[in-house]
Amino acid sequence: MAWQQFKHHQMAMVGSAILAILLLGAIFVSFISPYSPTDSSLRERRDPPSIQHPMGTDTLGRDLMTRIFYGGRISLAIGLGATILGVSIGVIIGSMAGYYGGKVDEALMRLTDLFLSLPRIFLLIIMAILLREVDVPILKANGDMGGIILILGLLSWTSVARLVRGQFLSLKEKEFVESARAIGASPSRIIFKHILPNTATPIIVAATLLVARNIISESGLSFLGFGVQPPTPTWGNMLNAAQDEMRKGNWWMAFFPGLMIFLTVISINYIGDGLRDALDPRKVK
Amino acid sequence: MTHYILRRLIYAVPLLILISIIVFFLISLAPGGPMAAFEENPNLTPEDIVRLEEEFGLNQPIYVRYWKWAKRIVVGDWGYSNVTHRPVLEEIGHRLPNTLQLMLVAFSITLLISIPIGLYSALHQYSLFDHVATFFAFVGQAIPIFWFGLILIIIFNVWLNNPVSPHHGFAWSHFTQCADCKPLLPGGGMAPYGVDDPTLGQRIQHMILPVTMLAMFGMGAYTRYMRGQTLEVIYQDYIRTARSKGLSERMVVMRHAFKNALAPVVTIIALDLPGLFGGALFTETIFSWPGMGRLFYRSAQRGDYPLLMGIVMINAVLIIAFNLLADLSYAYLDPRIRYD
Amino acid sequence: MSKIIRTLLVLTLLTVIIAVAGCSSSQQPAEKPAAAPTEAPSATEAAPAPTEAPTPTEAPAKPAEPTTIIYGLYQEPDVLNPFIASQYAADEVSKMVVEGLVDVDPDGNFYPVLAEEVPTIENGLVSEDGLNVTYHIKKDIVWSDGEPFTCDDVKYTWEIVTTPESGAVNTSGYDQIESITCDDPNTVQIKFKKFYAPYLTLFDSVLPKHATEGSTDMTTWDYNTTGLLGTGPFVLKDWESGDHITLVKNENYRDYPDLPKADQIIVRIIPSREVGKALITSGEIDILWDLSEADVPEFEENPDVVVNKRPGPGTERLLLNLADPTLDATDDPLNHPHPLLADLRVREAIQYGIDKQLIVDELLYGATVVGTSELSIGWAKCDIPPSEFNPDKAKELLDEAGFKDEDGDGVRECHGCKYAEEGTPLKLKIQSTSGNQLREETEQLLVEMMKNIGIEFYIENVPSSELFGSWSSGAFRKHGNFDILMYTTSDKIDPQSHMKGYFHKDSIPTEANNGKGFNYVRWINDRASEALDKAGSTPNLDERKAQYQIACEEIAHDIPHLYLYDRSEIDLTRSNIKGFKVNPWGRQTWNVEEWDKE
Repeated sequence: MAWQQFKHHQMAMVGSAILAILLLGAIFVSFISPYSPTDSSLRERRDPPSIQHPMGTDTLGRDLMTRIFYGGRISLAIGLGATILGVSIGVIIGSMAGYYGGKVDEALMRLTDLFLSLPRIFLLIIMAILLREVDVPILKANGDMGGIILILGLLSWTSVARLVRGQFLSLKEKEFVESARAIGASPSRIIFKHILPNTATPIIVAATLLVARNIISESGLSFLGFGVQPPTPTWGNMLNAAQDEMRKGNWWMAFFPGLMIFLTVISINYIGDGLRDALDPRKVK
Repeated sequence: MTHYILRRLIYAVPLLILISIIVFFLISLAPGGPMAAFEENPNLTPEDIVRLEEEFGLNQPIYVRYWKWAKRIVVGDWGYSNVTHRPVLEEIGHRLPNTLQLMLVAFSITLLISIPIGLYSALHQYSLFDHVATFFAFVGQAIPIFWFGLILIIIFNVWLNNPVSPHHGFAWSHFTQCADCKPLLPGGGMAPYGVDDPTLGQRIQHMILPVTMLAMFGMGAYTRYMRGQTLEVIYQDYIRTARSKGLSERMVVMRHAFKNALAPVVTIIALDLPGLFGGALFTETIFSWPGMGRLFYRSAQRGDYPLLMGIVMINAVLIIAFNLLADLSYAYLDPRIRYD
Repeated sequence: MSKIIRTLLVLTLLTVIIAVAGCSSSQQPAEKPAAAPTEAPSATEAAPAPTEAPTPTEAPAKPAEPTTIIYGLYQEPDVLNPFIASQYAADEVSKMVVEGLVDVDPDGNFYPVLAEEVPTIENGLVSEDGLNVTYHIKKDIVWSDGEPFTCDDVKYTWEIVTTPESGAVNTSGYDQIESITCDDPNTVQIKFKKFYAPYLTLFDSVLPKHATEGSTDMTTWDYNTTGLLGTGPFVLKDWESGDHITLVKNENYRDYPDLPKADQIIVRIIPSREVGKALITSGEIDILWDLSEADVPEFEENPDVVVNKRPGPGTERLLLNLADPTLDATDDPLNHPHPLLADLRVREAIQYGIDKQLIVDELLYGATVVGTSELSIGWAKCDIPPSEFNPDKAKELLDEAGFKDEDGDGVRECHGCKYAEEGTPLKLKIQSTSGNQLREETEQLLVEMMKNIGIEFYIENVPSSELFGSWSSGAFRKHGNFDILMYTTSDKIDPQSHMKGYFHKDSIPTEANNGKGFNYVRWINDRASEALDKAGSTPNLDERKAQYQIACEEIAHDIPHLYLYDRSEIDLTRSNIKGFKVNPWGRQTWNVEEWDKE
């Protein structure tokens, strides 16, 4: 039934279609594209869009379209990975605070306050610098991609935690929870089997928005010099590398990565919108 | 009520202490430090650098440095910047008015535009207006903000000329370069340089691009939020009751829907306000705006911990205060909530 | 109408008004105190009057628009006092105000500024042993506040700089002075404890005794910011933090009113080079400081902008770590060698594998030459032939060194190599400053070139403050925790302290010496160290040059540093700016009195 609803949200369907295309491109680019995303081709530097290079080439003569789709892999992986991490932490902290209440709630909410009281940009910078110091291969993979997922994930749990806590506070007094408790179900069972499924809707909606926000944050990190390392392409570092090219009139280098971020984020937002409409139980039909 | 406020204030003290400890230690963990600038300088011999580190007290253990800092801050001594040797409060005092000027204007414009749009969108859900407004709200959130700022500079400062400039009409200077062309809009700064007493008009000219950039970003979020809250409210029973009582639609909307939808929005506004004091790093960086964001970023890069601590602590106090204010305003606007 | 909505509207409107109006009210208190202490600036408005005196008919009509030149710097100076400032950007500003006895011109020659002539052994102002140096000060020099400039100011400068609690940063050389005597106000006699080769570089700035006397702690002086006082062509008028610094012409300048030609220089702080390039294109700034060779073609095509360029002492290079990078600041690189780079054949292979000419031609548009040695220009210039690009030779050397690709993944592994464990892949981390497009492009080409000979380079760039971090902050460069670094450093007109700091075996930063020294690659070469010691102990320039040549040859042989390309000093000016002359040895404001705008 929810799917029926979702289908009627035209923009959400368009968004899904665009995202599907981007995902397919990101997955299959290595089979389709004749070009390497990293090897330079100095004779073709800064070529405008043409038949051979539909999106033109970059400052080292690499096919921009190929890099865009390879970059999509990394950018989408960062958006999704950081969101999964952030939502997981948020759900655990939020449900513990909401379920146990009292001292636990107080402590966890003060922790959340603490996190919110520190300037986000400051935490980003400090964490980015500290992560360089640790030498864990999984974080260093793909030009520090793992590290960036960790940073953005650690910065995106607070809103989810508050949301989940609020839901728990109202749900834990409900009859079905009382009865589960009465038959001696363990807290973890009550949390994960009984309450959490009922909070899924707002979490899913919040998560879609987080994916969008994390993709934007990745580009911001690149701008500050803490992004994914070259030659691994991401939309963020491609956009950043093209800062100077726009002024010179080489618009395609900045336009296409920007367009990709734009299309992805707007699609995800519409999907989130569609999900909210489709899953909202109160909605009058 | 007073009891509640007092309790919240008492809780704030350990929170602030904890924040100061965490931030202080994080700063000193970060490599670089205040000496980084000296290391690059070929004028300095290795001996000079070692001597300087001792002078800055950088060879002392971290907890000793923290204790020294904390002892001074308790008596209201914010110390001196490690880098410029000027008082921390003076440095912040130079930048804060600039930041507030930019941020308040941008914030006000954002609210003035987005709240009516959000309300109207919700009341006419799925109308053409709603679709267009939703689209633009998403556009605002989907554009990387620094990229948008750079585009603004290139279009309005590099490419477009001032149509009233004496020698040339409206022209794309990108294609018709001329030495005495004046750009359509300034590409940065707060006022024209070399002018002793800039006019209000000149100041406003300098604000157009940065305010556009900031408003673009905030507008989407607030429109969406206002729309969502109004939608929440208009399906509530009391709205139906009000309608069935035969109140005019206008009364229903203004008295009941708008007021109730605004309560959570005001909370969000209160929570966002401290952000105004911190400045907007990307906007300030791209438009050469001498605000707090750049001051903060610079001191973070330079490991200027007295200044960094000053900014972070002021920010933390503001956030805590506005959090409290948000909760109180919520209680005021929504009579169902009571604190005791 | 609900009350809330009305209040809200009124409130928001109010904030807009207050915020916009607030700027004007907030600025006023900031300007007043800034302008008050330096009364001189009020002279700017009066300044045009004397110059227009010959044409009184025109004068009353309208005072000519004062000539204002806007100079864009992408770094804000922390402090302007030349003895505690650490940034080039600070010197760019202070050089307009503060002068020294002698200075260096673009050709690398010393010329007199406040002194009558440059002291040398030939003109008898330097004793044969180089221990006694005499300066005659020009007549009638006054500080911008009207006080006379005398030998006492020079003596005071030396005394305060060498006072331990002064906080002076740049004290090297001043501590070699035994005494300064002032027999008369215009004669400075300096006696050195022992021969100090770069003696002419001392007193490139002189402090005003009458204005700074009192506190020996320099860091608290007003002089550092708005109180800056000198004998130069301009005086500091005000400094709006994060935004701009205004300088106006000094009416007490020795060549006033002929010089300075401009009435006002505004140093505008811009947030980045990218923004600066946009602003000079649109004409919002007149001069843009410090660009790279990669920017040259764009602006050479632009008729409104002039590219001012001259080869400089800087060289972009790779630093190859010779010691075990997992150890913290080892003092014994010979027994704890870098598993891969310590083998000379690997370093030679890297050099043979790099097509430096390709980097110069493609990324720098042929605007410079390939790097060969540390001393690329100046009197001490080393003569080293460019390295050869020969990938086959590189592969041979790697085979010979015991690095072969047996698992077929394209990267060689150790099979019987000298230092590394069997099977270790030939994989090296290259690090530079992040956010620099030219460097990122260079690195990506290097990665490809190395791939071609079976070496894997991977990039891990960090912000410059982290790369150039200090010993106490644990910076990896100082502590030797790196494989390969890429950046530019420049020697000064007298290369001694630079050469010794970077290449002497005693300059390795270790725990024992508190991280002193710049020999980050931990290179130990007795012949080079000995040559550098000799070069620092004789006044004979030919002898010194010969010793530097020996050091350069050893570097070329051992390859602790691998020179990629020589850097130029490049600045942009709008086409209507006259008198700007690039000075690769000093600051670009060295001849600011000649700057003019048409």
